[in-house]
Amino acid sequence: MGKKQLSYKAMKTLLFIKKLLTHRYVAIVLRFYIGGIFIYASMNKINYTAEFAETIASYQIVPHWSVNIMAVILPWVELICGILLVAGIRTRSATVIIGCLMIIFTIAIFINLIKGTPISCGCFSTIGEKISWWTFSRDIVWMMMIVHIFFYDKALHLGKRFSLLIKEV
Amino acid sequence: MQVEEFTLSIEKEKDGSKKLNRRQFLLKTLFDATYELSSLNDTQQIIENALLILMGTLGLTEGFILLINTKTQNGQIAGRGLKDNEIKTIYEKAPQLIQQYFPDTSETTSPLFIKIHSISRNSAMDGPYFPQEISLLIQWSVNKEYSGLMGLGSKILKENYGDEDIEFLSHLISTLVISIKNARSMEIVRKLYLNLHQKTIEQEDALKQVKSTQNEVDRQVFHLKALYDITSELSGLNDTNKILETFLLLAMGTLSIKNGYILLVDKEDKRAQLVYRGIEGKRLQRLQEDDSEEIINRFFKAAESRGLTPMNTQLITDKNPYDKILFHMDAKVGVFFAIDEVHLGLIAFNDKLTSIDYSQQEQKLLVTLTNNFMVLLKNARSFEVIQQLNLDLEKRNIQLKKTVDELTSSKRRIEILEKIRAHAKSSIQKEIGRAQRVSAVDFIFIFTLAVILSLIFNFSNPNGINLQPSIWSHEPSPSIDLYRAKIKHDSGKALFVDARPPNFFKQRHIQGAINLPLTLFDFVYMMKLNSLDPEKEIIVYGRNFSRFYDEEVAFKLISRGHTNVNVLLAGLSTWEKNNYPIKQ
Repeated sequence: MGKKQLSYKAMKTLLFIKKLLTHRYVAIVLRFYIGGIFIYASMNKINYTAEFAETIASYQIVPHWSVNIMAVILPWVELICGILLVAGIRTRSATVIIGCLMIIFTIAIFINLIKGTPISCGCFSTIGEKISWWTFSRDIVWMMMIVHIFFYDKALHLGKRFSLLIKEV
Repeated sequence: MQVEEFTLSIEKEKDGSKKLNRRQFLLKTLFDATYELSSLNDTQQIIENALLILMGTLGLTEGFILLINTKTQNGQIAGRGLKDNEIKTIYEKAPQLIQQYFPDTSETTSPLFIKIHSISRNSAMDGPYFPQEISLLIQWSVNKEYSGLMGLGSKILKENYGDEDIEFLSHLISTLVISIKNARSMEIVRKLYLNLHQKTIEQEDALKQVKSTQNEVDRQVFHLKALYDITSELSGLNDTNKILETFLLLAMGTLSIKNGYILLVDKEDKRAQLVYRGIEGKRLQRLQEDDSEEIINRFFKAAESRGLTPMNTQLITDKNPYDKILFHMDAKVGVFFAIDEVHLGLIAFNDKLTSIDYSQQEQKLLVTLTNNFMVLLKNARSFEVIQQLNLDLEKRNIQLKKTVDELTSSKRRIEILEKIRAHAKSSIQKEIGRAQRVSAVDFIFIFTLAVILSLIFNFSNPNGINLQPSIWSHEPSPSIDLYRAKIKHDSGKALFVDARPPNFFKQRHIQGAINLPLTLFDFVYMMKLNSLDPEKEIIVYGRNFSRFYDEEVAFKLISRGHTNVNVLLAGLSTWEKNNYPIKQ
């Protein structure tokens, strides 16, 4: 009996936890967080394009002719997606793009970690910490957050607000 | 006797002169007879006179003259000295006498036929017809139509007829025949004249009749024309009041009436309509205004008591005192009419201009006119009713149209609102769907926006970079192969420059090489290579997949004036593979 009760309680707790974890407010918080991170990260990169280009080059995963182009465009993609996430406009598309970028970054870090290349992460600023397994795991966590946002984000969408306004009209 | 003898003796004595005198006498008598007879016109008189003259002249006691119309077998008789019944017998036997004496031969009917023969008493031929006194019978013929018989008795003197007598007789008969002929002619002429006169009188009568008929026809025509005129005049009108006025005017004109009025009452509306002409309107207006209800009631009571049915009229005259009281009539003649159950009217006329009383025909005409007028009035009223109905209908139509318009516009508005709603709904749904979906459009939008913004920012930013690698913009530097580089390295003649970032240099580099990273080129160059001989051979290495550091550093060195700069294309990895000296 006791065992059954316990398992029931555990189940209840698990369900509660699941509910808690998958709650849309959690998704909102995560959305703001990730969006903020991306906006912040893009700022430095936009300001110091040349340095960012060097960082990309140091990763050695893109051909030399595309390094500069990427260095120019990529921060802006990050910025726009970050803004969209925070604003709640086209969140899913933005989340997908951010997720893809995150996958690329993680893979790049992973490869360089394996190769043992002595490069800095360049995630936020050019003169930052060296890439490490910590960096890698942080990216993995962020990836999970992005996945959470993709599936559970429902509240506080500016786009929805507009729709509501139209409906009222 | 002595006298007779004396006379005879004288006669004998004077035989010669006597004969002559006698002859003269006879001739004179003949002349007188001719004169007398010719002046007469009546055959009866003629024969009577002739008989008288004859008998007087010849001295006869009895005689008769029978004039017979052979065709009609009638006769005329004159007799003297005979009894009336004898004369009558002769007259009655005229047809037989004609057959007896005038068989239808040319001889007996010729105008000059005279036959004198004495009657013998014994003759079977003459016996039954004539009285005994008649001794001489003379047959004569006037024309084909008339013939005559003359019977003469004996002379007073008992003499026989002498030659002279016979001659005288024949002459006298000739005169008689001529006279009769003349008389007949005269009679015919008179008859003709009488006929003519009669005819003239008849004609005059006929003319009079024609004239009176003409007058009658004229009047009828005039009345009909009036009727037609009034009808045609009124039929063009639709307004009741106008019809009343026009009718009054025309009717008065037609009958030349001095003054009159028409009063029309309406039971439904309790209204009396009055039209008058030629009279002072005050009394009538009082009729119309003050006592209109009373008048209406009186009118309808009168119509009921008189059995006046709709579309009928009744003539009212001033001879009927009841009428006068009933209708306040000063008028000489009036027509009381009923159009329908609720409309009654009175047409009243006073004196005519000629002050003559209304004739029967005029009264009849008035009634006819009123009948016509009534029909027109009814038509007009019907027309008014129709017009009113039409007007109402039109009003209602307009209202209906308005309502329909309003409905239509409301419907349209609703439709528009519906459309807006549907559109809004669909766009909202689309928006919601899009917000929930990951769409390629979003990607394209985000990337396009990023590209545009980044390029604009990069070009406007002083710290902007070239999109293409810088090595593409200048000539590649001369290169050196691995073996020769090794030789140079071994000989120590060449300076090995590691172009990679310091991290990489620190990790591993060719022994003896100095680190000259691109980012710190100026600083490191100034520190380490400023005093270097420009002709000193420099070998630059260090490139990877993403960056050709060696090329860029070599270019910079060349641009600083170094003339002997080579790039080791094989790179550090090949160097390391060949176990050439490196420093970890």
